[in-house]
Amino acid sequence: MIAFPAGLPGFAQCRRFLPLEDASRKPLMFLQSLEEPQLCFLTLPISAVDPAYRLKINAEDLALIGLEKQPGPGDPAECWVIIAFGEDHIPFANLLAPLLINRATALAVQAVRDDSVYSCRHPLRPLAEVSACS
Amino acid sequence: MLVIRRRAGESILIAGDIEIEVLETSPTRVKLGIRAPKDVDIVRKEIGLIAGENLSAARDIPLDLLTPMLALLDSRPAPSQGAGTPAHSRLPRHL
Repeated sequence: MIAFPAGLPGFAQCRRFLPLEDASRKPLMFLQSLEEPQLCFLTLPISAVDPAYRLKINAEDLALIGLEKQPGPGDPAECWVIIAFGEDHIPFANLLAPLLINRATALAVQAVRDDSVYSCRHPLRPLAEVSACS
Repeated sequence: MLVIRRRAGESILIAGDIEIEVLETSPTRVKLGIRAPKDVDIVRKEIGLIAGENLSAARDIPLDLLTPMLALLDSRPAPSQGAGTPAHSRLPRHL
């Protein structure tokens, strides 16, 4: 069980979630609300969506989950992104507001960036296509 | 849009009981202090945007679309893994 002490935007009352991973659907993780049975988010590790993603978490969000500095490799912190499907069934990832989970404290936060470097509707595309566009 | 010039230490008042004070300014940011009645909801604008995105992401998850989505990810070169570290728990290399 992980707890979001501040809830998630739009679901401020939902604090406790169960991370569910399915071996046949790696690296997907379902985040099932324990307060609201109908509420389940689909998430992917941020490194699977954008291996070059640059985290930027503000001090308030870090403190909320018991971290003192920007997490780096080796820290018990994981970064996930919520996946949604557009009407055309194209999956996109919310890179503007990644989920940061501190496994050591079992606390998590949806860290909304205050810059506009990343989109909240980043389409998932094969990497070859991503490179071809840049 | 109403435009008002203010300096650090100066305030504006909205509807009589909401006060927004400019606390500090720098070339790129301003620090604001807000005094308002408890029932006034105050959030950064991005939070409102993310609330809408979360609501739309939390609609029924189309299970039949998960396999094609994973196939899409699998079509990308696997990132190199640190010894003993499962890929799913790694942070992006460039922080």
